[in-house]
Amino acid sequence: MKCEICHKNDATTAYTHIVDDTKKTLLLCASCVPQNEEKEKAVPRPKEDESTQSVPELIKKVKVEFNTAGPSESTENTVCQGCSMTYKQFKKVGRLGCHQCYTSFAPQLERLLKRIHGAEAHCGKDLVEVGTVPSPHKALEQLRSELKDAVDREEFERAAQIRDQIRGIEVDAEGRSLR
Amino acid sequence: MNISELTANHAQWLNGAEDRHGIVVSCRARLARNLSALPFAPKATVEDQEQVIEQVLTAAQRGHLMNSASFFRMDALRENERRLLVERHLVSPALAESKGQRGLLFSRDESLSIMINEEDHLRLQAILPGLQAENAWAAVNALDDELGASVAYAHSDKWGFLTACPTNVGTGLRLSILIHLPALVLTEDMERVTRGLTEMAFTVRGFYGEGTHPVGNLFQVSNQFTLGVEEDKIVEKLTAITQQIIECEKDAQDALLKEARAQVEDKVWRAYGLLSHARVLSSQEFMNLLSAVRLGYSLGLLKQLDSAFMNRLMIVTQPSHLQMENGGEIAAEERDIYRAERVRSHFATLASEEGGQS
Repeated sequence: MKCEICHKNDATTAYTHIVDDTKKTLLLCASCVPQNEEKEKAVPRPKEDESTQSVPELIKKVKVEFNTAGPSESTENTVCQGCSMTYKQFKKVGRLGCHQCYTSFAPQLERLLKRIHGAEAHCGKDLVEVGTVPSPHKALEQLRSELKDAVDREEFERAAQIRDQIRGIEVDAEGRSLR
Repeated sequence: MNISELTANHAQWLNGAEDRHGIVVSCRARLARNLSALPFAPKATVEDQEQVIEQVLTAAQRGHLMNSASFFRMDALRENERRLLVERHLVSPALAESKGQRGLLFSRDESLSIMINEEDHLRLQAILPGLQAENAWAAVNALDDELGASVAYAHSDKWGFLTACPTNVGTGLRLSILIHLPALVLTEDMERVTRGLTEMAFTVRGFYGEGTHPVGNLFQVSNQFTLGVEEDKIVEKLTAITQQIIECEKDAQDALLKEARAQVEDKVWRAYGLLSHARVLSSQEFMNLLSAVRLGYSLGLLKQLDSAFMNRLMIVTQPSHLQMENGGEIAAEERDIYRAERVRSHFATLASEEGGQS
């Protein structure tokens, strides 16, 4: 029996999951089985195609799931300190009005984000502090790969421009390290 | 750069590198970012939007990657010109159609771009040819570092980068590949593949992204979640998954060729013949024929052309490109004639090269 996802390797695992309250089983090979860490997460990943649903629809679902018998007056009327958007308005448009909305509507958003992403907190890139001088390293790496591409494709005018850009950065960096 | 020069510009993402048997067209990494000092799109006034544009332009000037980039204000462009930018995948349909002060900043080879005042203040994009998810992420990450050092982003320790729509919060990263899967469509396996991908938290969409239908067997596969998954992990997963899809497609192609070689060859060569000689070509017909020719290239049946040839042709035959080249609005029927002309002359260069070689 071949794996039902890649159709290439032999299926080694019966992977059972729940879609719309019905159990479904797929026979999968080791490389297609969703990884353990995901299975172990306390929060289940959202069901099929949820990311394509509109945010207002998702908000409604969250409400039903958490058994709130109708929106409470106080939740609905929560006002963002930053932009004066109400939670009711957010529910309608599905877009937040400013970064402070995330603080003002924190309890409601916590549930919604869990529902959308199946996760509770960010992991990944940190904020770069404003005022830090970005290391020229990444930019240089990027430009060098562009230069190589231009030379490979014999686009010499473009290559010359990129070369000048690289020189500019190098001169800049030297100046900085001398200071 | 002037907008009329764009039609002849060689966008790097179309050059066919890393195309994996002609199956992967391109790879795109997009980051959603907002400035903490200004209200998000739903609450932004025209003055706020102007501020965003000004701050981003200043930040770009200070950096190394975008200081010689071209800048267009959307409201200064005609409708057709804005659509041209959509066709080149430099802006989203939403940015082209929405109201207010919007802008686009892009590098000369069109590999790096910034949409200003779309759903978020900033949408940073890196788009590269073929399967190069890691490089696309590295490129957009470098641009993000440069801008982030100049402007204060909306960010929370818990939820990461804050976006107007909660579906983008966290990394703000949407990584996608544009992939050609004719054999999986033909063998009716696409539905299964789509289901499998959804299970693994990836979304399958049409050529122009959200809300569009697949055209010419081209699909966009992108990550679904932005919160709780590290960028590197997304890159790794998408690359692995794409390799699997390529293998599935390759197997299906080989099976087709084995079972019905004459019919497959006939389909490919008929398409080649029609593209070389047709006098009227609708956009839909063209995309379907190009898909058959691309399949022929993947199978090694057609050796006289390559991915760069097909990718570029695919873009310059889009409606707004044809209109721009012919100096303004043209009715759809007339456009189909121009399209056929354009395609014919493109294919004629192949015939003459071939003639020269033999």
